[in-house]
Amino acid sequence: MLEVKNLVKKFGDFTALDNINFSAEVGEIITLLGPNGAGKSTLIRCICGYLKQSNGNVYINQNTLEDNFEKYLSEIGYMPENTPLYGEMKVYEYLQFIAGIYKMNKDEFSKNFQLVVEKLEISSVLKQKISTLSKGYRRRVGIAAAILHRPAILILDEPTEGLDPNQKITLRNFLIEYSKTHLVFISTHLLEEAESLSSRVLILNHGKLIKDTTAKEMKKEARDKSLSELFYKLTNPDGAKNVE
Amino acid sequence: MWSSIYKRDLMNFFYGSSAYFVFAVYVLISMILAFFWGTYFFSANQSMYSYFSYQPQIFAILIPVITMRSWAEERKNGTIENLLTFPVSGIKIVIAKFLAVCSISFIMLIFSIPLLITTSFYLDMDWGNIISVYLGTMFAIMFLTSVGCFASSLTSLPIVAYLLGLFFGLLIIGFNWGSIIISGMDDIPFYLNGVLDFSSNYRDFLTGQLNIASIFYFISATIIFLFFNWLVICDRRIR
Repeated sequence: MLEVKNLVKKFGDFTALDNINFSAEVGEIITLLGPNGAGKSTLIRCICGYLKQSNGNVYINQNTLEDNFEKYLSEIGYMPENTPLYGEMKVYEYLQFIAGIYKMNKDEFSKNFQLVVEKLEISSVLKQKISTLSKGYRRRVGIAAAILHRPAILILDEPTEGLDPNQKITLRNFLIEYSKTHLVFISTHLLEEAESLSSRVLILNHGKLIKDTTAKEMKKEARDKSLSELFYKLTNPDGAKNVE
Repeated sequence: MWSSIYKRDLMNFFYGSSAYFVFAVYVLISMILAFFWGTYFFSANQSMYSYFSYQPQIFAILIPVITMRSWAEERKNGTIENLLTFPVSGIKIVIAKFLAVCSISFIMLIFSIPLLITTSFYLDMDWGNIISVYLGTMFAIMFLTSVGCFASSLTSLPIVAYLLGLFFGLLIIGFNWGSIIISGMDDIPFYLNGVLDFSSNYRDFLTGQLNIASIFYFISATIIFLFFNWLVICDRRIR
């Protein structure tokens, strides 16, 4: 489904991503973990085609972006960090706009629209301007827009940032359900996120993929320590020695 | 689909009151310049010369008001990341945004029709010239729009985008770039002097002397600035 091969991204002399390799299949939830500046958003932006990689390639169903960008990008539903949306539009108008972008016909739109409105509980704000929405609703509208065309791969950058505990649980339940038939890829710096989603975990540090594991294995590895301590040890090997 | 981006950009302009403000300013400035500066009632205006001779200057001031939002606001709000990850090619996005601004400017041009109808009651109009002058103004709008869109793509601050668009627009219509470029060169044919001059090319339409060179000038200049716009926006992308 998704295959990242020898991916390198450089900004001038700075290497933001250094030879990243992994693959993922439908039915998985992948949590991309890493401290701030580890390269999580850069990796996501390279997968989504927003940034051009310096080397290597990303394949979705054996296709690269260069092979057929329309097909490649149609497979992805992406919500960037901070959920940028057109504030002057009403929620319904925005979702209609997204349906137009993905060339959805009326039947397809009404079917998918009902589904996302119900799953993400946004029916009460459909006629509201996006600029007037709370952070939680804004996030939900962003996710609704990302999944409206039922993409094979759902990519969310820091999706639970700023949400209250109830909203986080609603979102997690939704992601677990969606991942049964699709691939869900989220980036976060919150360890409890990975734990609660029982997902596969990719840990990035200084642009390198330092761990490809699962939340369960991480817990085992941590033993008597907390996950935060294990994360600290992995991402700050020198600092961890000093602490010990 | 690119038409969704076109529709959104077009509607975006009408969400607030800015569209009506720009239209009102356009009508006001056009009328003041045509009636007072251009002495509309005292000249033979079978082709509405007094009205259209000031249109490039007016559009050079007003088009950046519209274009300043097209890319700079997308950058400022971060929506450019959504836009460039949609399954729509970069060139189609650039063209959709360009056409949206052109459409708004063409709507402004419609406000000249009541004056045209009124004038036609009093004068024997030169309809061929009228078509030519409308065509020329549309070409000028397209050129200035492509310049404004390019300026907007350079920054994330709409006000800077406006100032850049205004600056580039006034530079283009205010100077004869052909003569500036060839002034230091020897053995350059004299006719090249006006080739890159916005005013000379626009004047051809204004006087009804429709020629291929002027049409080519506006179309090629528009394409060049759209290409620059595409380069700036899509440099980070593969396509």
